Amino acid sequence: MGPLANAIRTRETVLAGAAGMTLRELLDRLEARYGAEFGHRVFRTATPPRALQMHTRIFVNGNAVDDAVLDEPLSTGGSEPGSSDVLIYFMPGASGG
Amino acid sequence: MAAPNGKGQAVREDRWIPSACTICYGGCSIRAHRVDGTVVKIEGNPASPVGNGKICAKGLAGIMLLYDPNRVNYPLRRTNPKKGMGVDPGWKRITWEEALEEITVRMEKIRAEDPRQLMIQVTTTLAPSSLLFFTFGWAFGTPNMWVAGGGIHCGNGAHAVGGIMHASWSLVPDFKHCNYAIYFGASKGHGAGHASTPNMELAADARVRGMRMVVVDPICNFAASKANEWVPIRVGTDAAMALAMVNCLLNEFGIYDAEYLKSKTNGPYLVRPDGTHARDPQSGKPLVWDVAAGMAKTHDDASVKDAALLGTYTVNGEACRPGFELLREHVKSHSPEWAEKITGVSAATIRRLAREFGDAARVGSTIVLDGVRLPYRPAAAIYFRGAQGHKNSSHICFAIDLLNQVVGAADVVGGALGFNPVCHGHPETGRPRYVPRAERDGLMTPGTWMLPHLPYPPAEPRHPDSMGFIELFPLSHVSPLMASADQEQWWQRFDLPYRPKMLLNYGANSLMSVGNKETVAETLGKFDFIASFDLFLNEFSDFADIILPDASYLEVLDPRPNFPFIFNHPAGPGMWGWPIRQPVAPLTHERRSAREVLLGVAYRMGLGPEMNMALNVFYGLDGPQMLDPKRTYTFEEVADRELQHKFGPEHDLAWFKEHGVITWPKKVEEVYWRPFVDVRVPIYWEFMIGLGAKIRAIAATRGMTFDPAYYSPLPEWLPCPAHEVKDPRYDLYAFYYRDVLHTNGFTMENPWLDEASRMDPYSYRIALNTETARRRGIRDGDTVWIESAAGRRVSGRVRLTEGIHPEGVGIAACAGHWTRHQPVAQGKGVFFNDLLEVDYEHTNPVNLNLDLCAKVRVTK
Amino acid sequence: MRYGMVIDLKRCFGCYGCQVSCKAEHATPPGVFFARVIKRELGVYPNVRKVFLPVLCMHCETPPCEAVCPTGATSKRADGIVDIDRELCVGCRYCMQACPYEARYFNDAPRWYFGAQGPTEYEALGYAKHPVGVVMKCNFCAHRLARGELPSCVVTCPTSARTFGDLDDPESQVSRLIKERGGEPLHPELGTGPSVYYLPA
Repeated sequence: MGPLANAIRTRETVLAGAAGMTLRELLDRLEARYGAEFGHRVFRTATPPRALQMHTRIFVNGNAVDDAVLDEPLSTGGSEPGSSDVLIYFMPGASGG
Repeated sequence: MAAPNGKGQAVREDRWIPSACTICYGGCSIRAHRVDGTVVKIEGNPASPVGNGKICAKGLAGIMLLYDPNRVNYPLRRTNPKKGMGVDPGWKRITWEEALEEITVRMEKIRAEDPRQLMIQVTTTLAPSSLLFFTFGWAFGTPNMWVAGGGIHCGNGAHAVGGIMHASWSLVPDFKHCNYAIYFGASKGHGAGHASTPNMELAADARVRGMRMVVVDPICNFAASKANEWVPIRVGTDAAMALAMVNCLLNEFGIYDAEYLKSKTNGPYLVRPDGTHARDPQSGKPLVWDVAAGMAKTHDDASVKDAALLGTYTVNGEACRPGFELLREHVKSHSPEWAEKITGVSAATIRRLAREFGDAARVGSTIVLDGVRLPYRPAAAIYFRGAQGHKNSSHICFAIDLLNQVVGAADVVGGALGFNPVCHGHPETGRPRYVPRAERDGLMTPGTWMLPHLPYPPAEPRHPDSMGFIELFPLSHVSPLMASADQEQWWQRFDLPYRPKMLLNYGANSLMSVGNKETVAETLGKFDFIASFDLFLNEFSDFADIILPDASYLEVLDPRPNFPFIFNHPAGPGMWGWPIRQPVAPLTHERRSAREVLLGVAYRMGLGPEMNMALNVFYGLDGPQMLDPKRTYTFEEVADRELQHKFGPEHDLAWFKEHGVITWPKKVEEVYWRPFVDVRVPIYWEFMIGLGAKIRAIAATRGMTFDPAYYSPLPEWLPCPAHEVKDPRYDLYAFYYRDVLHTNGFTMENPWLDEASRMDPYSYRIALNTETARRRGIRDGDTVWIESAAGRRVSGRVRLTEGIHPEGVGIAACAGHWTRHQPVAQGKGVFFNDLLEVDYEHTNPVNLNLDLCAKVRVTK
Repeated sequence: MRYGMVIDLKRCFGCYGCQVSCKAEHATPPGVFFARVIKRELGVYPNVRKVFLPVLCMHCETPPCEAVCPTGATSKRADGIVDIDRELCVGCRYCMQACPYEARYFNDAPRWYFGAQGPTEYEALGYAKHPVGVVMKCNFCAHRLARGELPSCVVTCPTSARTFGDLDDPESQVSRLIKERGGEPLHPELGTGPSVYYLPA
């Protein structure tokens, strides 16, 4: 699989990964790159298998994803051939309402 | 030829336009009749299940809101730099461009410094649509948002417990099938609020069918007035009564649903001597005792045939007991005799009601509906605003809901139903679809929620970063610290690294809706700048810098007035309906829809990508309807995408404008869903132990303490500050209640509703027990002072009634406006909230609900 | 054909929907209520009973108002509706004295809901139906019946407490409700023969 692209709010990153990489594996790699704080904002549970925070939304090639697809291989419908566009959107952690 | 109108002219236009009301957040579907550009009638929409063609007095009176000559027409800017209650701002008219320029420049500066300095405040009446304003907050990067008095008054407790126990925002009896309903401080089906008008018909049908309704409430009105039995209770003591009733069921009558408790709750989870669950060392999962195997296994071990609910078992060398056993033991000391002393309700009555409820529940019975055999428990206990509006908010709701849980009457036929916790979606698209699922410890988390953070599992408490300290109290939704007397003290103690500078207000009047006006006024005075979208100038406006003339609900588009379905879509069997709100009257003067203004401001500030992503999240847009972060959109385009995303390209905005609503039938598996979804609910809140400890660890170091009993895993009776007042001169409990004619302070300006209120015995009066008044020489119609032990006071005219607890002082809604800008509202009714303290001391340390009762005396 | 109404006091909980619906339908001026709700309280704490009584013109079988009207403005139609012909009414108000149900109203000057601020565009359009100087009252929404629609109060009532139909038809819903639930008019001893019946709470 070719390069992956993701955006953290206004930050863009490209990662290269092997074919069949799952979303969970991608997130683990981003956590390794950006630190534990990234992990806390993405996952709401600490013990494996970690589940996603509700206030963090992830879109893979324009489709919203949830816990159910974390362990599926990322589809290659991204903007570059063989790539996957992954958008990770963080909302402010706490809001009133 | 067209028929002549009242002026004898030919009628050119005569249309009925489907839309949605918003005078309260019931959001009932309406049809507005427009003749030659004038709205001449509002009726219900028979095509929509949200109302089934009915509409209440408030909704009918919308015409008087639309055409009120006191509405704001142009953007205004203050010329008087001095702000204060009753201090004339010196409004001058400005252009929209001037207004938006100033607002945008200020916001850009704040965002560059620290976006958390922006606070956003919205009204609840347009909920759930008004929550759209929070998307701007997400895009901007501020966590400081709330709904003024909403939530801290009416919902922090009820909604959190509703979420944890029923995966939903609110609770109703299954009106179609319930035989015995106990209401604690609630008026579902007899007043305003979520699904208000649909519930009225359902409640009436149930009444005629013979459902017995018992209403436990300090005042006999609305629900209590139609009840088979009104049980007057001392204000704020419902938890004691509920605990005693649970005790009767479990320990005196032995009535409980063992099957339900074993398989659908954490009743069998073993608890160690320290109160925490016994857990499997590998997986961390809570253990249960397999009676047949004689050993402990994880709760989800398929080989467990029968998990123990009672007994003591040795696990890892410790004596452990199932949570249900602990509950049963815990309530033993909460006898009806004990509860009588606290509540004033006789032990005999408490015992009798528990027996009636337990018998009515018919534990073990089933019923066949739509060919499906389902558990049948035709008894329900519900709570809402009255019961949950006290310092021990969380435990009160938990205790009451335990009545449902122990007899297995939760989300089954005849029992207490959450509002639509499950939706499988429209048959053609499968959207919107949400189902609760099992989370940590196998306990339920809702499939959808109103806000990003879920009631369960509670997020990790963190050192606060927001004005309201929501991060520190994860079971809360909104916080009184946003406008409290002690906010600055807490901000200092917790080193909050910024201070609020700007407030963006959408239609809320926090000066009246939160608590006493002096406290709130002081917090408003701290802002450098306040911009407010309003229909009318009001008391809050005295602190605003710019007023923006808002479009009313009859003049705006909203693609989702009734979604999430957990909020105000009718519960129980019937049809699903997704209506829209659309303009039925043309905009006049320079009024604009705040949604469009909001989008425009976001794009103007360069927040396009963030705003569009926030909208994608809020509306759940993905795939082809997802907003492109790099483009700009009109609100109409966003609404169009939302509708197509949910219901397909043929059901676009144009389709909805014509048809008003899309409907499809509910399935029995959606309505009575518990047997079909493998989740458990906690009857023992073990998570509170760890949660309370973590919060204490952060809070105590900064001097924010609380009685650990609030975090006990089983509900406790804890008195309100009002119950602890020793001065015998203050011998009555003041409280407010919802009036069928009003929505908080919003409707007081409506002359049709004002007219009915002046005819009504109680709307504008202070209800006082006849005998209580007689002893003090107070007569019907006297003007009196109601004064709290803290020295706050309100005045009003008395209405004597036999229908109130002798210690009760009951005031309707949020009245007593003093602004001259609302001439109909000015001087009418009583401003109850002026009696309330707004501070941490009067706040529930679990869900941050404000304590809403005051110990008072009455003088002439 | 004899139009009549049944009001179920078990269903009604006093929401004022009928009152405001009628007002919205007819654009009646302040103080004028073709339909309104009376509330009373009975009993002694804690055994309290609340009474919610929606009232309107009773469209009596032998209407006292018709008997005293000097101009023939008030008359009972063949379908039972007691109506007022505005052209014939001279505003003497004998009918208002004669009516034991206080169902009639009269304005001698225009009155607006926002007082000195004048009429809203809704009121300006609607008040043409209620000229000053003539008596006005409920006419069972005759204009809606003519279109095949039920009276506004009936359609709106959120608890479906109001039923409308033909009292001469024993199979009509109104007739059956009266028979099955024991419907009684208000103050039958006055002998006017009301066409509005109440089912007990």
